[in-house]
Amino acid sequence: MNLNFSNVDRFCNDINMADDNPVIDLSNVTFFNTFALVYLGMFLRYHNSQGKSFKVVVPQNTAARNYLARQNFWSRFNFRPETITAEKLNRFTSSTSLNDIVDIEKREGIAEDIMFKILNVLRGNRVSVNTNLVAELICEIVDNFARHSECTLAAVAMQYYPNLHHIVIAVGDCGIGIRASLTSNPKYSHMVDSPHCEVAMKAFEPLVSRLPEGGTGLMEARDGILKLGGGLTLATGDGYVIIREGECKLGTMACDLAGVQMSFSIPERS
Amino acid sequence: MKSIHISELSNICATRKRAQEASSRLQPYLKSGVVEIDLDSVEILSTSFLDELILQLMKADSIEKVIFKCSTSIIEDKLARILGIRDAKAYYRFRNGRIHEITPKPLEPLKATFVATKPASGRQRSKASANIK
Repeated sequence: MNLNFSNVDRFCNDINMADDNPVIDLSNVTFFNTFALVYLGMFLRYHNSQGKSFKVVVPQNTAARNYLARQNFWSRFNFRPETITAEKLNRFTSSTSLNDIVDIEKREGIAEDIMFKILNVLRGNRVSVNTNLVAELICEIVDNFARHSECTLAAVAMQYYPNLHHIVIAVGDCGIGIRASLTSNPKYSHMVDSPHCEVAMKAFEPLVSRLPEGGTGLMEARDGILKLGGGLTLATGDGYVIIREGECKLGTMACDLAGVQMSFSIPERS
Repeated sequence: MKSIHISELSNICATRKRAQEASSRLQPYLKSGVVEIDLDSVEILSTSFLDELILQLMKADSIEKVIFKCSTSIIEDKLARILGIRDAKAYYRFRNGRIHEITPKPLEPLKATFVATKPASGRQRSKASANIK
């Protein structure tokens, strides 16, 4: 099974949260896409914060298991340690990712730090993308998460797929989400009961922000990604927005997860 | 007219916070009159940075005392988008040419469609080994 945007919400929704130590059965997962990795991470982090710790059944597939180890997945989230000890020791690195799900702390310069780390990966691999614009996008999105999520930690992961000629960057948090954030501005308080996906879509409009002077962050991210021929996927609460090839689709996720999780994919220039 | 390079106001031009700091550093120069800000040769000059700089200048009622200078149309395009959104005006000099008012650029809205069934990911994977690179 490939765990990706299309099924990670159902995967999370099927976990029996009534158990004292719910089981995360990853045994059949053979591939984690970057969005799914961050979404699952934020699902775990949210429930960790509610006092839950999880038992995990690790992937049988060696590549998938090693990928989680490389991304420091086991150390970032709170599992019952006896279920994963062997894998925890199995860290290795690669030049095509950050080799970590990097936490976004609320501190000055965090967006720039992450931007430069990702630029190093892109330049080190001679990735054929407009690196300045990609860097700008990363900085914009990470800065938005740091400023708006109202939670201690957000996280970012990136992966370059040299054979598939594209990069994916995923960012997530389990904070208050777009609806609660935007409707804290009296101008948008009428949307407090609107579907998450509709409020998320609203947040892509210019000057729509919880801040009185308005912001342009998501709109700039959207336009920059489209300019680079890429696509964007965003989930918040039980809503999602997909923007790709000049089209925008929105709808409902199977899982209602706190915060915002998003990823964007940029193809290499042919 | 005083001319300063943007790097004198901020060594990294990526975030709103940096733009707020740049705006504070710019204010003393503006007390003496019009200032030309050279935006050339900056590795990252984000739209958010420019938006926040313009917003701060608008708040200080000094946007019309600034001339933005650059030798790439990409920057002029960014400024035009911001001015379109903020319903503001600003001045620009392309290379060493004449100073002109930037024409604000309207944004095209993106049409959204509600879909009942969640679509598959854009790039479905076929090889499990794709996780190791």
